[in-house]
Amino acid sequence: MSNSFHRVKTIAKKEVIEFVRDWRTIVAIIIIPILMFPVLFIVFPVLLESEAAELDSRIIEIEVQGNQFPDQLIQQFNYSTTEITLTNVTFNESLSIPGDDFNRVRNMEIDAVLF
Amino acid sequence: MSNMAHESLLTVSNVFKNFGDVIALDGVSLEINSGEIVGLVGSNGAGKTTLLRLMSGVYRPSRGSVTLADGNQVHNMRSTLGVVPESTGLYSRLTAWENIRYHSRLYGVSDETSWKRTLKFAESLEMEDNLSRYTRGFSRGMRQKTALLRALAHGPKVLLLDEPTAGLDITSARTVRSLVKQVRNEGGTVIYSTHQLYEAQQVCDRIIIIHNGVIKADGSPQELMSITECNSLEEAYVNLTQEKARMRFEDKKSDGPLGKLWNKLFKPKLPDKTELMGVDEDE
Repeated sequence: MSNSFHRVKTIAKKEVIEFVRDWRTIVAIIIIPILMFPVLFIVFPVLLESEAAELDSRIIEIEVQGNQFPDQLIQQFNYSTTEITLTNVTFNESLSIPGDDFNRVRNMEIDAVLF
Repeated sequence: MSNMAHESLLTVSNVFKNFGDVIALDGVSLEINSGEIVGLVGSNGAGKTTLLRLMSGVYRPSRGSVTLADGNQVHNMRSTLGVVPESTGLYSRLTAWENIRYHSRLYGVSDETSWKRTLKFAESLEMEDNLSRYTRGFSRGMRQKTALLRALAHGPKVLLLDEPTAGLDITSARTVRSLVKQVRNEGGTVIYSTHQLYEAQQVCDRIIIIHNGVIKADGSPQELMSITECNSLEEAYVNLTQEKARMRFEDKKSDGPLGKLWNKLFKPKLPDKTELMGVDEDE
């Protein structure tokens, strides 16, 4: 029993020495995780936070055209990042012709037009 | 030689060894006496390494037995043997001494004893300065010498060497040969596998010629030459091994209808000679 324990101890000792001297494996299993954890837990959240803050700071301008503006509809857009303009609807020739609104959205003068 | 030379140390009795369909050893019997250098000579695939592995306890015979003088099966008494295999199997991230010490410790030999023995033989092999170096950067010769030191450090009764000078330069080969003689002169027994007859003649007291898994001759170089009535060992060897080397793989699959189908579909084929006849080389 003691003989086999002695052998196991000898083999284990040899394995440890070999492992310690294998710097490539040590780098792969210890150093790389040490470098990766700060990246995963510090840098990524900071990047995501700044992305979210950028989105929060943007104000979306929406123009609602119509003759009646129910309160329920207004409440739906009542966020701090949303700016709503209520405009009376004006018809040119037909309802299907968007008039100047299409170009305003395209030129980013306004974010959306609802009617 | 002393009386020790006649004392039987290792007995191989009617040993058969097969690997699947390949019969590597076919009823081999021999006796190794203490204090002699026995050369195992044969062509590639003759069965030298298989016999050596059986004698070192790495393989177990399919039939027959390999026993030591005290009647123990050889695989139970590996500490009495020192083995240098064809590939040295050194740990590259350990120094030469650490490799040797590791081996000795596994055999239960104290560091002090193995260090003394190592130093003694390292001097003969001119390896003292390399003992503290990692084996990673060792040349083939240095690796072989380290493996020899490793095999000798625990004080074995029998030293088994599998082509110990293969790939070594002239100086290293000479050093290894002189160490082998030194071990014999100190009462050790060496079994030396080689396919170089010149080397066998120089080193060995007794030569066993093995061919196709069968022992063809056993005796001193002079005896082998006189048996065959040849002037050189090389001629004697050729005379004794005229039989064509065996086919290593028997095609058993071709027996049944399934086997025939298997062969038709998957057996590697060479182009038919008649197909090649008349084919222009430029085509």
